[in-house]
Amino acid sequence: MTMVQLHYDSGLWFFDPANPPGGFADDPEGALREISNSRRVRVLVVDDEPTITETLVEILNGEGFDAMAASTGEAGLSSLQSFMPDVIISDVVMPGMNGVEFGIRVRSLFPKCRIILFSGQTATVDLLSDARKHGHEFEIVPKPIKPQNLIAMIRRGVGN
Amino acid sequence: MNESIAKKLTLLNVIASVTALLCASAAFFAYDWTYARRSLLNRMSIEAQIIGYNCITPLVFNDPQSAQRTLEALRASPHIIYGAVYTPAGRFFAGYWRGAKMEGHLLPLPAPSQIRNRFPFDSEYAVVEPIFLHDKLVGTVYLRSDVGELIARLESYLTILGIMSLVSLGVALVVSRTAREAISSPIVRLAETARLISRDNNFAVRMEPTGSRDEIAVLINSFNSMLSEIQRRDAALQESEAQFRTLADSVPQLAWMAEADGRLFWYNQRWYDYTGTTPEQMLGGGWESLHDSKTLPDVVKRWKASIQTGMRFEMVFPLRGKNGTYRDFLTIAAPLRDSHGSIVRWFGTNTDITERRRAEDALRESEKLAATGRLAASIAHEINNPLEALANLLFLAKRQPSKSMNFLVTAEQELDRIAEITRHTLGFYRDTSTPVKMSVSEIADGVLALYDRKLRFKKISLIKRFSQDATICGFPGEIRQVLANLVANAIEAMPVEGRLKIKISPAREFTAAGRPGVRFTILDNGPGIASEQMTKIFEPFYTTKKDVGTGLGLWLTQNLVRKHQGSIRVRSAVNHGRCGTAFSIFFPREMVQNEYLPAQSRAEAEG
Amino acid sequence: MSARSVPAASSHPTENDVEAAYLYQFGNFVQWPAKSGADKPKAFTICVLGDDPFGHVLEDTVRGSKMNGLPMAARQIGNVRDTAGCQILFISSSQKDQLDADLLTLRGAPILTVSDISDFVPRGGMIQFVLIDNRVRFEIGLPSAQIAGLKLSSQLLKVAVAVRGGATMK
Repeated sequence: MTMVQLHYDSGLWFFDPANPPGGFADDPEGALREISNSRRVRVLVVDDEPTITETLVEILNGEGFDAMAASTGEAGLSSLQSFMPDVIISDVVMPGMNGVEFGIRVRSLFPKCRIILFSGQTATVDLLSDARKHGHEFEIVPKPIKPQNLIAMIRRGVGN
Repeated sequence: MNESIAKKLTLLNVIASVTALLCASAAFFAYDWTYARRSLLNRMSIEAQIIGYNCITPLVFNDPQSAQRTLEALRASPHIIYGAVYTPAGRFFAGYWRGAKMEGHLLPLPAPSQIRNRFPFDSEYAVVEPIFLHDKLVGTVYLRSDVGELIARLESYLTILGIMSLVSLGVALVVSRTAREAISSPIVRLAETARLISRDNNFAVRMEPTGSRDEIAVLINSFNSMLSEIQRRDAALQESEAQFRTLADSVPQLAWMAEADGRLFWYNQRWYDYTGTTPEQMLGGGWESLHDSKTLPDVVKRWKASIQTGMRFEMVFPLRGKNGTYRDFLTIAAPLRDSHGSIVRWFGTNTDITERRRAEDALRESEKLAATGRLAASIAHEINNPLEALANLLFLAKRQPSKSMNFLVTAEQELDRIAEITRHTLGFYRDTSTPVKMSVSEIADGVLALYDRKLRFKKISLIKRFSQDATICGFPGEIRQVLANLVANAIEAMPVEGRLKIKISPAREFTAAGRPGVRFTILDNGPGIASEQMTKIFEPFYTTKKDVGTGLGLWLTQNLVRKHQGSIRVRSAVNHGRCGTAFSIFFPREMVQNEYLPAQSRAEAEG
Repeated sequence: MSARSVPAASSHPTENDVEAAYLYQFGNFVQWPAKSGADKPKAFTICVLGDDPFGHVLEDTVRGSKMNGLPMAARQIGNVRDTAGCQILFISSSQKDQLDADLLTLRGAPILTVSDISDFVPRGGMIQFVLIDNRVRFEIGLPSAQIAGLKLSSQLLKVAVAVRGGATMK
């Protein structure tokens, strides 16, 4: 929460749950709908495999999203402020910060940002249950997933 | 010498008394005899001289009758049997005879040298005295005496001696009796008491003190003290024995004792409970019947070796329980030595390690499974990523037909990656049931392919020196696991742009046996392992990674290496300039048969 | 028989030889009264009064001998008044007729009178030789000896055939 205040003190535009500017606090999903109606949904793709990030970003851009790639959790965090994604799709098993950690960090900074984790590992289940213990819920999607299913999933969340 | 003390004392007394008496008597007798003899001769001499004096004028004036009358005075001396006076020429002048027998029998005057007067050889004593008148010889007196007086004296002496001897004997006996009470009686009683104590083994008996304070009393007191001490020590010993047996029966192990020559003579209660035997059955090496016939010869050989060398015995072998099944026991036996260092007996315990073994086996299995699971997850991850990329690329190819060729080419590359992974990891989950020949180099290649992505990601430079001649005998799946564990650990430990070097070559074992085999060495330049951690890294559940991993990796690796009769060594440096870790594993080309395998594994092998 | 070997004497001593020997021996058994000073005798002399029956025998017997510490001598005298210095006087039978007068003269003198005259002792002589069984013996008359102050040893008296007078009678 300290980070939030700092950012707030710096005068940057930022979601502050305690004191959000303009009516987002009461209706977060409505806010998103507004965003989606007014602009393209921004998606951040985080994966250490460049083939995946590149192809996925290309696909998403082609499907009307505004997609950006990051290859590590740290990179993803640093691009949060500048990109301000609405949805984050992140691999779990990455060198350095893993996807779950990344997700928890994002949640603390951007509580309203949707986080989708995708992973090829069954060990992810343990990490998720750990996260659940700390009160965090993330969506999870197994690799490999057909791009069209992934897109549908993103749109479903947006549409609701 | 076998007589009793009383008899000895008596004999001693008697001998002493009689000897003293005899010696004294002999001395006195000798003195007295000499004196008596001399006295007799003196008297005879004086008598002769008196006679001689009185015969001067008869001789001078030639009056034999007068001389005769003088000689008659000898009648008053009963011992004189002949007395005569002779002229200076030696002719008979006048004489006296006692007893009619000798009457008138003139005896010639003997020369002085003929007179010996020895007793008892001479039955008569003789004395010759010259008669002088103013230095002129006027005649000679010759007296003869019988020695009856001396004999009478001797007889009295012997009588007295005889009487005194009897008296002395009597006194000696009386004294002996007294001494018996004072000396020999207590000793005899002491001896008898000691004998009874020895016979009955009853150390509660005590000797009464005599009331005196001599050495015998001291002996009796010491004797009683020693008996008390023996009783005390007996009690202490029994208590100690009871303590020992209680202890021996309370520990969960089976315990036993053996003589210095290896014969087992005592077992604790747990032994009998477990084996369902009785002490009678265990007599005379009955323990051998509880052994598996396959392992018994080896056990006997090692036991005999320990007995001979006195070295601690340690061995794992199965023992049959009372329900007929065998369980594994870790048996340790140590010798008990006396103050000279020679072995008095052996103490041994058998600890049931079946459960532990099972637990270890289960742990191994679970770790294997976990490792397998991890590998599987790793593999899945390795494959899933390319698949994901492939799905994306195909989607893009469909959506952007104009650029489809590029996408399809990339798609093909991803497909190749998948194929390579599956090819290399085929058979990962299937392991052989018996040892087979395999190439360590081939297996290492497969493992490295698996970790290719990680290596590339961390930009680790890899140096491979794999020999073609790297065939060993074993279970490929387990070897794969071992190599994968070491590779994964090395990659994890190394920094970005680290250097990894792996060498596989034929080699000989370090030990004296020097078996031929293959050495696998992996060196990384990670931070190294601190010396205080070195001893622990092979322990189960030891890990320096905070959340990831079970800590069983190296433990399992070591187990698997040992199962293949190999050995694993590690060297490490933590100094900043040259830090790094090197693991080196030796696999023998062939495994030796008949080496004891754990019961569980053996069951698997047979089943 | 004799205590002394007789020099060059015949194997069978004669009566005179024996008497001479006895005369010689008498000195051992008689005690003369002590004299002192100038009266002390210087020799022990055996005198013969009258005809000498002994010849040289007496001289031979006494020659070189000592009696009572004094050298012995033998002397023949003719007169009774010449007896000064004689301890023993043998009165020869030739003096038979003057015997009483001689004995009277000699009465009290410390001289042992000896003779073989037959009744010498009864007539006052001290020692008288007698011949008994062919053996020379003697009789002793004590009174005259006592008057003369001579003490005769009891040993001598013992061997005398007879002792006249005196306390000791045989």
